[in-house]
Amino acid sequence: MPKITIDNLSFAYPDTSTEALKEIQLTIEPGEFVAITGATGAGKSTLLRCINGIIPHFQPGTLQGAVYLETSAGRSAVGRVSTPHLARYIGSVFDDPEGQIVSPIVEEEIAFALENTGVDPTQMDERIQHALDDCGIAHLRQHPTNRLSGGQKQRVAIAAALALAPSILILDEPTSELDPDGTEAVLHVLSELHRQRGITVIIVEQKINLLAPLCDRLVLMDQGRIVLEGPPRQVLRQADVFTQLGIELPVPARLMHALVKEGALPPLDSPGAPPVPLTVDEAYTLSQALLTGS
Amino acid sequence: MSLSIEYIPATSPVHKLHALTKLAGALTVLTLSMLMGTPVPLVILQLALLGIAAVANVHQELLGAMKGLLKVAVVLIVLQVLFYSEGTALVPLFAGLAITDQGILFGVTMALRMLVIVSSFLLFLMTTPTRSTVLSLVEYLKVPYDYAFLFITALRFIPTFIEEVHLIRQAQEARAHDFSGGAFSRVRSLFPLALPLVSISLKRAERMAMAMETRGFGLPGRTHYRLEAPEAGDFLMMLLMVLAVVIISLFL
Ligand SMILES: Nc1ncnc2c1ncn2[C@@H]1O[C@H](COP(=O)(O)OP(=O)(O)OP(=O)(O)O)[C@@H](O)[C@H]1O
Ligand SMILES: [Mg+2]
Repeated sequence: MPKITIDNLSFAYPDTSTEALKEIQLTIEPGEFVAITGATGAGKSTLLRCINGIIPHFQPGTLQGAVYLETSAGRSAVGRVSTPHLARYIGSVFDDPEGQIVSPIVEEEIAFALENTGVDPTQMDERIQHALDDCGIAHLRQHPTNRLSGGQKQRVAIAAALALAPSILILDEPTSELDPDGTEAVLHVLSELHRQRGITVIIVEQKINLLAPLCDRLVLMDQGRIVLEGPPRQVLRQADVFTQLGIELPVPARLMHALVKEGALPPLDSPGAPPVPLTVDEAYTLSQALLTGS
Repeated sequence: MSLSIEYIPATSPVHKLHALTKLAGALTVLTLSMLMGTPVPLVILQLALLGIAAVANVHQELLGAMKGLLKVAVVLIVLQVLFYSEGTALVPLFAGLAITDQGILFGVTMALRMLVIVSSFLLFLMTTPTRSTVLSLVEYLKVPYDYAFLFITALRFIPTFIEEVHLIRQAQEARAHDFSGGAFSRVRSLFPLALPLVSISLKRAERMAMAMETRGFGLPGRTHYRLEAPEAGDFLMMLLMVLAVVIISLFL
């Protein structure tokens, strides 16, 4: 299980005057679930592209610093490993459900990565089934890929990325084109994969209200920099940073901030302060405790 | 006309054929249409293509595309008829020009040839997934895979391109027959219209290449879940194609 170290990473696209990433410093432990958010143009996609090798292998530009994958066997810079080789470690899912599916039938799409990496064909059926089961889409195995809903497509894309059993899964706004049901299905798959298989998940998302309860770490980006990062309960304390960056604070956290402001709860950094609620349930419990005075 | 031509999934004998067979088929039609200098065999060829399209259940789409190409065909015919001076004059025109029998024949032949060639490539694209074409080009013909992508991307735009080339030409000719700029400036005048389309399409091809590489495409020692090799039917078809070319070149 590789650890990801991003060391002083800066990147500028060709013919642009400002850097899309500025001196990013971040370490992601094996098995961590990291959610990255920020306003449009903050550099989130660019950061993901540096981790999965799209930068520099596909996208030209000026790159400084490096992203390293560290295993017990040693560490290697992503920029020095070819994209196909990286596929064994890193699975990538992009934001457009359309563009990333290359096969006409679901099972062929899953088999694609297996074929590319020279997996013995006699083992493929089982591994395809496994990947489909993991994503809850076993019933779609023989389906034509162009007749899937957006949510189904994204789950196929995730299953396809999972076929190689990568230890890291990288997703760029995988739910941006999905309805609430599709979004929930995709996020459910991710949290199960993370919980059961210990996969490292790095996801860029706007819907942090849904991700805060799932992730180990929340990263806020703005203008190419990481502005704030840490466990979600800690990050969500800094309501002012959210306001400043124009990112909407999840409702449970907002409720708590309102209660603190009203004086109903002690200030967040005082010793007896309760943790920031991440879900509606937690917010409900907190309000109930207030009402009953305990 | 739609922006570009896409694969239309279906289970038909045509869809089942190997990508290489269908590509060979399109090239065969191209060769045949060059050999055919008169309208009748070209019409037969076009009808045969429509028949194949019906078997593949993509005839609606092909007819739709042909409708778009018809405008171009008409322009082609009119231009040939106006500027072709050999043959017997049928209707005298201004400035010593005339509508000649050969002019009409030549124009119609050109238009039909264009229709046949484009139709055959459309048929190929509509019945073959991009992935299969790329894989066969890479595995059997050893084409570097970025070129394979470019090839398909370019093919997809044939109808759009042809239509635009002619619309622009038409516009230019309406503007005082100004050919003084020469071929180069005429081609260049295409770009403002065509370039956005091409760049969208190239982007899409690049997205696909990215999706393929991030899943290990390009590593040595590729295996196959289901072998997509040409089968007996494919070899039979290719044999028939060679025969058709030989026979027709002998008789025409
Ligand atoms: N291919 C490119 N060429 C030039 N500049 C680019 C390119 N892609 C992104 N940029 C610029 O780099 C900066 C960061 O873009 P990036 O796509 O990483 O932002 P983002 O946080 O993912 O935004 P969004 O939420 O809109 O997806 C932006 O200023 C953007 O305009
Ligand atoms: Mg983005």
